[in-house]
Amino acid sequence: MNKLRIENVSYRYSNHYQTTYALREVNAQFQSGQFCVIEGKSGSGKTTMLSLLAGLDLPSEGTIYLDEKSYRELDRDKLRRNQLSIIFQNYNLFPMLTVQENIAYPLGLTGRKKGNWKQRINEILESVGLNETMQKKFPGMLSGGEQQRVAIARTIASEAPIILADEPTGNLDTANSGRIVENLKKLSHEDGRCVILVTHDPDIARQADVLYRMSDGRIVEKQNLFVQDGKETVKE
Amino acid sequence: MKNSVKQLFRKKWMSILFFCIIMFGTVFFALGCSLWMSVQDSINRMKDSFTTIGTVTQKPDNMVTERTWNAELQKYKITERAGYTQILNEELLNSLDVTYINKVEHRPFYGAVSPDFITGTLARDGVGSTSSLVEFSPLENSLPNFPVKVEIKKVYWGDGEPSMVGKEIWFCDYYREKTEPLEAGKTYIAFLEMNIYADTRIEEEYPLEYVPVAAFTDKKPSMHWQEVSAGFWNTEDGALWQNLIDELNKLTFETVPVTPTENIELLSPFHDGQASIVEGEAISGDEYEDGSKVCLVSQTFAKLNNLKVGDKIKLQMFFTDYEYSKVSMSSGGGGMSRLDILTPEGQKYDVFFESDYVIKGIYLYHSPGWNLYELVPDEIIIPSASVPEEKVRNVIAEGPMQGYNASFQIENGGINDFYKEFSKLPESSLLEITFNDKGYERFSSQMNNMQTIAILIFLVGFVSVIASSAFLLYSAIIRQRKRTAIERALGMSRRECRVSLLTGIMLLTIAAACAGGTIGGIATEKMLNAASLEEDYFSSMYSKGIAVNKDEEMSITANQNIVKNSIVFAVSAEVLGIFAMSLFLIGRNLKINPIQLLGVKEE
Repeated sequence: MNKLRIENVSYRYSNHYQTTYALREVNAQFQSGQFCVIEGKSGSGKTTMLSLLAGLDLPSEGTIYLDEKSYRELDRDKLRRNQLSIIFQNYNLFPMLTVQENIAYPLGLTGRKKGNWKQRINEILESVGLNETMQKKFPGMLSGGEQQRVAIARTIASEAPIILADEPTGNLDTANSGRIVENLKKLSHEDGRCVILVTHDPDIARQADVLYRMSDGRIVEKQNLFVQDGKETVKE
Repeated sequence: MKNSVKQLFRKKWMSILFFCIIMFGTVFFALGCSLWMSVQDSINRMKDSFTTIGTVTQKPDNMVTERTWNAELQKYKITERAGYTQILNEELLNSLDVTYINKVEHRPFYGAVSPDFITGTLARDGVGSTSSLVEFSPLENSLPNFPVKVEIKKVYWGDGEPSMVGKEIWFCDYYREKTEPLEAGKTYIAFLEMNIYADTRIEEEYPLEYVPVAAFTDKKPSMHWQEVSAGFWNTEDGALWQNLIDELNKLTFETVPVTPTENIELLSPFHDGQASIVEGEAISGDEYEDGSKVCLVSQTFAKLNNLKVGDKIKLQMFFTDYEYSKVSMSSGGGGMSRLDILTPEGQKYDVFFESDYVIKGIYLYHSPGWNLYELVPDEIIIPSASVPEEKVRNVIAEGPMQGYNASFQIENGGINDFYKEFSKLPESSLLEITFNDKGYERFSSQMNNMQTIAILIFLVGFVSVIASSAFLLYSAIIRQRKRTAIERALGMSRRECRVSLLTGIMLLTIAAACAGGTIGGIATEKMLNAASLEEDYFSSMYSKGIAVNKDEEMSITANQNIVKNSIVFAVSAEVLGIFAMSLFLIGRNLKINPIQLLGVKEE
């Protein structure tokens, strides 16, 4: 079981005139099998938090732990390669690589691109509701929803236990949005991964196991709706 | 890495476009570089082959009228010849604000006795030649101003093969109005010269007429011939004739002309390449400066005397001539003749300087045809300073600077500057300066044109390379910020991201640069070869030119190594430049937080 813990994390950036806090003394905890949502308006600090969780930056104060190991001690490139996978609002697929190559990309990085990997990719595509014929297509030939599902497929292929999703439904219509959220929930509940989704959409937030609501760089509310052993926990 | 290459080449047309623009940029860049370096190399290689010498000739500033009796016409013939009211000193020119490599030298030549060696004088003047000092006896009494047939009794100087002794010739005291008659059977002595104007009135069987000339112009100007009576040789006049006989023979058979100089380049035959050192070495700058006792001898002289480099020869200088060219005093086979070889008192000149000289080099001379600048067969060249100025005496002829005895050397390309300074000289109208730069001005202007073309091509290439690189880097790096961000988000390290972007860019760059460099190299060779074919021979003769020596051909040629090196340099510089710029731009890409970049909502 992977456990991601944020302890008293603050993040500030300075310019010549002032120092601005993007995050202030944030505490949070994410676990495998949970579909976690960080909800907040623009500028609330949720993207900064995602960036810190992805190991792309370090907090100014406080610590982030993965399985009780501080990010500062970890090789964060390796962390992103092996433990984390990120899904973006803009899908962010490589436009010059085919769907198959995009999905296989993390496999190449982790050295898992061996054996019957093409078959595996077919299965993954199928699991996100895309068919085999998509494989040779380039992202530009797909709709937004399809591209986002390819992005999820890439995440699935990476086999990362923690999935960070930054507004993954922001560019999608309601139907596609619902399908993506379902896919992500399935990854947490069925595959046992920890999905951390950042959104400003209250509808998605409502579906979270654990919800952190952010405002002005602080967590202003935490709701734990995680169903464990058939019991729904109470909102804090 | 594979994905990187894949992503680049999937933009097929873009890749082809990049390849082409980088390749064409490289062609110009490499062409400009190699052309520039090749031209520079040609200039460096060939600039030492050029020297610019100037010769100085003082122009006559008046006319001298001469009255000569013409026995044939029975009247005086008036002739006018150019003359000088003053003799200008070379210091006039040396005081100019000009950077001289060798200042103007007004060279004399010395007559030096070289008693231990055979001079080149094997040819003898005599019948069929132009002058002789003889004893003769008229076959009949003469009438003044009319030719009389005489028999040669003795030849003291200027005999030939066959000997003149016993021959009958016509004698005519041609240049004097009033002469004493010659008596048949008596013996007379005279210095005779062939009368070249007498052809028309001489009988076929005696085609030659000789005229006596004044042998002692200072001492006894009217003495053209004298009777040799009993006891003549014990008289004062007899002693004068004996001195003349001795000195003429010494001059012809034992004397070599010695030219002192500060640099053999100042001597036209060496400067023009008609004379060159074939054994040993040229006299060095230090030796000229120190006045070392070293010399250069002709191959003819060295062979006649079995001399080699390092041998010593003793030179005893006994006269100095600042006026005439050695050539005008020499016969074809070598050896000199002149009647001014005695002092004004009719005495022999003593040796004023004597030293052993070590042969430093042996030169070979190919005469381009008779001219006053020529070297003579026995000519020995020594450093000017080897004969101390204060010791130089016995000046038998003084005259103005002439092209053959006054020259200087300036820096190549300095002719215009020289003329600018020269024009300030009040006496400039009296001096004529003739420059010979062996074609440097033309070479230099051609090189400058080539260099300008090379620079233009280089600049075009440089700008093309910069523009194509900027285009490439903008498209392949700056516009690929998202790709780098995705790669970072997927867990690639910064190093891996750099490699990912660089691989494709560098592959494309190297391939295009190599192709461009190869084409540039071929184009350079073709251009240089074309320039070389169009190249005329650079003159190796005087600017006033007499002939062109094709052995001295100098042209711009494609030096394979220079072309290769410059192409390698151009290609490497371009590849390294793009590599460095790529690293810099990728570094900037990597500074952007991927989440922030990738999280931006696309319109």
